[in-house]
Amino acid sequence: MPDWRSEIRSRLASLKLPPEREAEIVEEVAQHMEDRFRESRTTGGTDAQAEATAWRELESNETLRRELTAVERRLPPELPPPGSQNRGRWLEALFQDFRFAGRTLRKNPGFTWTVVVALALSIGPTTAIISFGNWLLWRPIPGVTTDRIAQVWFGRWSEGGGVSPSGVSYANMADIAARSKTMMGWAGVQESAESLSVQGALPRIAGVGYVTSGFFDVLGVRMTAGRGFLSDEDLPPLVSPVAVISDGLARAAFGSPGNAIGRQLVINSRPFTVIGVTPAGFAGITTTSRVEIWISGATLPYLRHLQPGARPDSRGDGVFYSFVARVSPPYGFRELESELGVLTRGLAEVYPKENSKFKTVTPRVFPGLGLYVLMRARMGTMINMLLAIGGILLLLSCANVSNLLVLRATRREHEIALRKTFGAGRFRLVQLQLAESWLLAICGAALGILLALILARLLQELLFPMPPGTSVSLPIDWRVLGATLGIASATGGIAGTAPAWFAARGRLAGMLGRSGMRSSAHAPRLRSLLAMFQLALSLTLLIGAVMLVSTLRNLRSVDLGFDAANVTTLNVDLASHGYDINRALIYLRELHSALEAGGGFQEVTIAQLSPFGSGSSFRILPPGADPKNTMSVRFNGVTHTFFRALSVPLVRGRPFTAEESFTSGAPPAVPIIINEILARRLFGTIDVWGRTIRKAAALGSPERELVVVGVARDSRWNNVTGQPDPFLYMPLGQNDFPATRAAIMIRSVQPAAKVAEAVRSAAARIDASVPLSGGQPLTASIDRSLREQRLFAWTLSLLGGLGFLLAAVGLYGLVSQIAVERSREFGIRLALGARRLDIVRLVFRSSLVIAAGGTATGLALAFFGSRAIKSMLFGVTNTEPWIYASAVVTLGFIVVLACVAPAFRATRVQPVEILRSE
Amino acid sequence: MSLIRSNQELKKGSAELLILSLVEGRPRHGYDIARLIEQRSEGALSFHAASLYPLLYRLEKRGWILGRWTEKPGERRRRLYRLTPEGHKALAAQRSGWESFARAINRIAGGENA
Repeated sequence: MPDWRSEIRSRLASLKLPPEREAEIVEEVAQHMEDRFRESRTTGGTDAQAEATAWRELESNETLRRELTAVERRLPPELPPPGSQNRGRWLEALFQDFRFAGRTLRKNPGFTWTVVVALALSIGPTTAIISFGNWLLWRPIPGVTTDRIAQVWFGRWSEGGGVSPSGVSYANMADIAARSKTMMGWAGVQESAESLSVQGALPRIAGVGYVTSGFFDVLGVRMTAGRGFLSDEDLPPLVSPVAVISDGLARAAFGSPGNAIGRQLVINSRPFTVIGVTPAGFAGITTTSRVEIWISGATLPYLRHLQPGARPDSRGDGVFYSFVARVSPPYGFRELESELGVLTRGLAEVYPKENSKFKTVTPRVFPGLGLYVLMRARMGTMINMLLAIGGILLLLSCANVSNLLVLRATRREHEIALRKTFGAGRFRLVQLQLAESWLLAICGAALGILLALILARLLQELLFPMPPGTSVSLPIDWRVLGATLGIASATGGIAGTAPAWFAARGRLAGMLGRSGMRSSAHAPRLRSLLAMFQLALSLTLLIGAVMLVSTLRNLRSVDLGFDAANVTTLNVDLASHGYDINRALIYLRELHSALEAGGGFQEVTIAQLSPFGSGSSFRILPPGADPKNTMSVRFNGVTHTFFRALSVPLVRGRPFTAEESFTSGAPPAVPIIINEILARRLFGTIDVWGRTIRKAAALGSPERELVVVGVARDSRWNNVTGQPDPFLYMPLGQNDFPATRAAIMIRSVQPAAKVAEAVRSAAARIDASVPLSGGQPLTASIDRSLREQRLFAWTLSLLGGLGFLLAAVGLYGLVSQIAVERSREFGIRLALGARRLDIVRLVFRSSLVIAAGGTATGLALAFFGSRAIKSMLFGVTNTEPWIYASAVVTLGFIVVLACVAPAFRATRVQPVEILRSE
Repeated sequence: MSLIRSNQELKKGSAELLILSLVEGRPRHGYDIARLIEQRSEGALSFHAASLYPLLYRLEKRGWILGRWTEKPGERRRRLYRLTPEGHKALAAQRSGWESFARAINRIAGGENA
């Protein structure tokens, strides 16, 4: 009987049925043909006739295949073996490669963990930087439903992006809005902090935004309950003051947004009625705003207890200098800026007297909301620098992982050679390798994200500390996740390229025969270069880190001229609670005595300004100088305890008395204390007791005579680096800037939080309606001024350390490989009488070239690269030899560390084993 | 030519009915089914393996018949098809459909002659 089966099978081949199904069909149809054949024979046909009858059962060549196509599903669960050509089924092959990669990686937990951790250590910090940047700069403001928003500022702009802002009045705002074609609307907005009391509770400091009535409409913020401001609620006369509050405040104070409507709030001791609640998450126009209450601009004088007429509401002057504007399509932000420029110049021509300032004041448009506009440029640069460092770290770990993968690929030469013999194409081999590195990168990213959660927090506290008690959440949102996944797959791709190339390279001959044993005396060139590159980069980072760490140490040891240790600072704003200067001085004097008497503190003092906060200055007439040549001097209003409390020695004269400190009014001659620099500059000596200076007349204050009663040592009140400024101290009550806002400074060994609590309760006993803000150690303010140096010292140290760790792992892998490859040679040497020490020497020698190359490249990179941080350095230069030397020593140590284990293993080679295998 | 085609179309339309009817009483294997169709139609209808088996598989996939490899002593292993409960319903439906169709045809084609 003919072989029906093979014929049927060949007709079914193109269907690619699952093999067991195919066998079944072949069997059944073949049986049928056999039956037909037999029947034909038994009914008298010849063999040939019977055979022909049987064959007819299959009809044409195509029939069986065609009929079955519709019925049988082509199910290809059976894939070609890994590494074989994929015959066009690319996706399945890819899936298979991933599965295979996952399986092999699971089988090598040591290797897998090393690579995943190495990747996480670079992806994590980078994700942290991105997540911080996202939090600070890029994320949208919740509740804002349009992206055609810009912030607008008016002012005189200096070169470096600084500004002296200028207000725009309601009248000018209305004129500009009426004439503008590029914007749909705009609103003034100012964010500040005031004291808030809800339902009789003790007041606390809360973020307050005062806005013009169109504010919420411009931003497209839709109230979750109630309504926004009506335009007559933003115009005097004020009938009943109203407020819009945040979702969080509504829930905390009244249970729900709906419940809050119509309820009362007390802000700065002034009652307000709640009319609306903003959507959850909306807290102001910047990413770091924390506004809980919105009031209209017209209620500001009422809120601040200003005298009628004290608020400038002429055309020429306005309270708002920061605005949000919504651009109307098709115009863009550029058109808006130039149109605003034209409109303000026009206003200067129409009202030349009131609007003369618009000849020099120009508008500037900052697209989007995001970070507070004046910080954007600086923070943007900082994030970019951090991202650059993150990029270096990623490169480092790419080199590292690449190195490890190449090592694995060499170990798998045999497997790869086998795959090639079975017909694996280059493409497939590359794909297999890339699948593995991608899988590793994705695992690394997952672990990295966990790491980022911690690091982002650290970064935020270092770079952008928020006041204590405020909770900050740095979201890992889809933007951050997307970026991280992008980075991870790029990393996987880059790290996998070298080994993939290695795998695909046609070095088949010899691979099979050698089975991983090589006797070359040199490390593979590619891997040596990678290791060298790694060492060089980490050396560079380390040198930068050492420079910045010593800068920080130098900055910390700068003599500030006062002692900030153990000093806690709190602030009080009495003016906002309706205090005039006399009442304020009584309050402050009472508080001062209460704290001195009862707190158990070492020192207590009150001054107008705290160190490393904001500064104040006025102009004086140096004795005998031309009255036009006034001189600007920084000053502070202080009390009698100030110099003692902050340990500022008086080198001549006396401190102020309590009487002078807490008495207001203008005596004919105001007693002052000046620092040595100012004394020398004015009089050429520090023996200046009783000498007089004149304070120049300024807006709202007449010329006055100042009598020097003391000379204090020079202090750095505002910055650590640079020279101390000429400085002048006046009694708290007797300067022209009323001391209704003051800083309370306490020296105590107790923790700042405890001190703050004690001070707050003492203050509450005098007037419970006035809350105190702050409560941080004075050193925190000083540290804040060093945050750039601190940040870069931290990150570079961290990255330098990580870099070295990664480099050590990479070098270890490389040296191990060399040692393994040369084990035959070592065995023979040992058999011929070499000592173990000689073998150790041989292993070390193999890493010597790499170490030397890495050192030379790293030193050169560091020398040129450190110019970028030159401006940040203090007390150390970027050419300091000891820094370079110490970094090289560290590198040497790392190299030795990486070689110890492989060298030890190499000495354990059994010569007999090696010789037997020959 | 046209005769052959109409024969094929007729076959296709009625083939399912034929197969279901043949396995209604007892399970049968493919060759058995093919032979019975030939015999009972006295050679007017015949199925080759190339179209019979795909048809069987299709019916099996629909769940109307169920094929099982069965061994009997002294015989070789064969695949027997029997009607499932689903198949019973389908057969009933097809039968009544066929009968009404045949009646209709008869009324027209037969009526002229009557």
